[in-house]
Amino acid sequence: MFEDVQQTKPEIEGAEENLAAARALLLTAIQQERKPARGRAARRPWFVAAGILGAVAAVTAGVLVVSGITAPAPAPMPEAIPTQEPAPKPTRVPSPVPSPIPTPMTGAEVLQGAANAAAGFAAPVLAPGQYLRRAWTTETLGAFDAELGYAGQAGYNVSRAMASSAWVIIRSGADYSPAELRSQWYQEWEAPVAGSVYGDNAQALAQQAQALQGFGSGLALSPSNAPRLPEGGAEDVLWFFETMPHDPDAMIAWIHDYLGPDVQGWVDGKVGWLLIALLSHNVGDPEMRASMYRALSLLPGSTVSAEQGGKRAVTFDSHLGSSEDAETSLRRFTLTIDMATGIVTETTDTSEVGEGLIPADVPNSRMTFEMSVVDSLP
Amino acid sequence: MTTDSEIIQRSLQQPAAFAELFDRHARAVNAFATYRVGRHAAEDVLSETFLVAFRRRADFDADVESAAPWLLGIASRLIRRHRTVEAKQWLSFTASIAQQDRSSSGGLEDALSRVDAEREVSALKARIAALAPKDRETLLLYAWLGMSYEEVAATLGVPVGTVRSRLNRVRRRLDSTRRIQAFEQQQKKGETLGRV
Repeated sequence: MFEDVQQTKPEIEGAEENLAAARALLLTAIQQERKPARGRAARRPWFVAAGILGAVAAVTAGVLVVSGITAPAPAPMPEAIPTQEPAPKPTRVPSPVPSPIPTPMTGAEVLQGAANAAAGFAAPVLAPGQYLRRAWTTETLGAFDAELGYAGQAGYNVSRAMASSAWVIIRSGADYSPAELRSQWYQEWEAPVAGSVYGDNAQALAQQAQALQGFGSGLALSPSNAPRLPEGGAEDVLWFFETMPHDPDAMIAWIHDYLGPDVQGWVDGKVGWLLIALLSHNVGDPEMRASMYRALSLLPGSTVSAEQGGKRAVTFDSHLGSSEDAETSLRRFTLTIDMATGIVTETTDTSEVGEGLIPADVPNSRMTFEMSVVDSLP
Repeated sequence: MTTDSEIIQRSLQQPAAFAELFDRHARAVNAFATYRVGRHAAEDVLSETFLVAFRRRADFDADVESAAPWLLGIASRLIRRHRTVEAKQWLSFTASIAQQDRSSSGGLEDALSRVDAEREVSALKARIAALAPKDRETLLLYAWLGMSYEEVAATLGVPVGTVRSRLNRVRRRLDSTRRIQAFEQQQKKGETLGRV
């Protein structure tokens, strides 16, 4: 059998170019090391991802303003030098994967209900001088891979499954959107605070302290542009509201085309995440928001939790890759919806669910939102 | 011949010596990365693997002669950050049979047997691509890179017994004869499955 497998070994193309490029980089690193190597802790560079912080403004499109939103944007990644020797690597025990409690309703039905609520919601019309305030809180999970000496945002810079320690950083803030969405927005946020730590406590606390510095201090009320998606991109979220077709099937096709081809499972996962990210801005024409919910209801992999306080949490699971087992590649998105208004009150994103030492119910990022109308800027 | 361990120990005082380790193992690391994430992402993985290894060379266990498992272990961790790319790569691996040479030199029988062989390879590729990621990684190190059970275990940081059990599972999944037999048995029992 394994002889047959050897025959499937593909040819390696471009090896010489790869080797030349990598060798050049290594030689540069060798030349830069002027002193002989000593203890690793004294010289290991590691990277602290500032992660999600609440920059971002909200966008309100259309006549009826629903809300403003905060699309947290990743901050620069400052370099820091740790000073203490890492503690012993903790034992990794995969955590159980929590599953949503099934209810008689399906995810699609709940999303259809959210579509109807969004379409019928009489959002407040802002009077002159008034702003829609979206208060937000983000919880960002950082992780450290002791084997590589890398720290960063879990699921992005560092594999969550490989983390030897992890920590949460919490930041709160608010966006203020004007009645005319293309007018001036404002934003403010507070200094970040430390959240829970996981795995090697000493290591996690030290890195959390470094990461807090990377997040920077708070921001007093400042003018801002319309927000962009968390992943960045050239267009602000208003552009999506203005450009996407209203028909749900056409909308999904449009997003597929916009995002480009991808692997099985992740194609729909990416569409779902984009729609969730846009909806969580809680802005836009009600009919467009309803269409976005209807488009979400067409995507596979959704489950729904029981209603709590008029809210429903819908979970989307994507099994990345072509594996039938997909035992190590579960990516989970959730959005919690106020079923009376269609307003999104929380979103989460979790990669490599259930792998490694980080509990499966601790997401890579959690964002919560609360909407209100203010008569003037603070 | 100087061992990898000796090179690494020497490089602690003479950093330039580390380049020799690159020359010994870069091709294997590049192949490993290319199989999994494709040529372009492999360039990043290869570069980063040796930069990490160089930075962390003081941590290398001096009692271990070969650095190959250590280097491939670093590469494996780095590849985990390219999961989506890796999944794409396995899809293109499955499809690659269609792009291979289909020249029609030779007679009809040659052509037919070539089609049969292509079909078998194509089916095997699809089954490899459908393996669970951990099993597939183990298989790749063993069958494509020619590592021993012990070296695979050191690379992946798992016990040798785990490597054995993974390869046994892989063997069961890839063996089409066994799969057909199992399918037929289940059909006799009335447990029809979707496909072989």
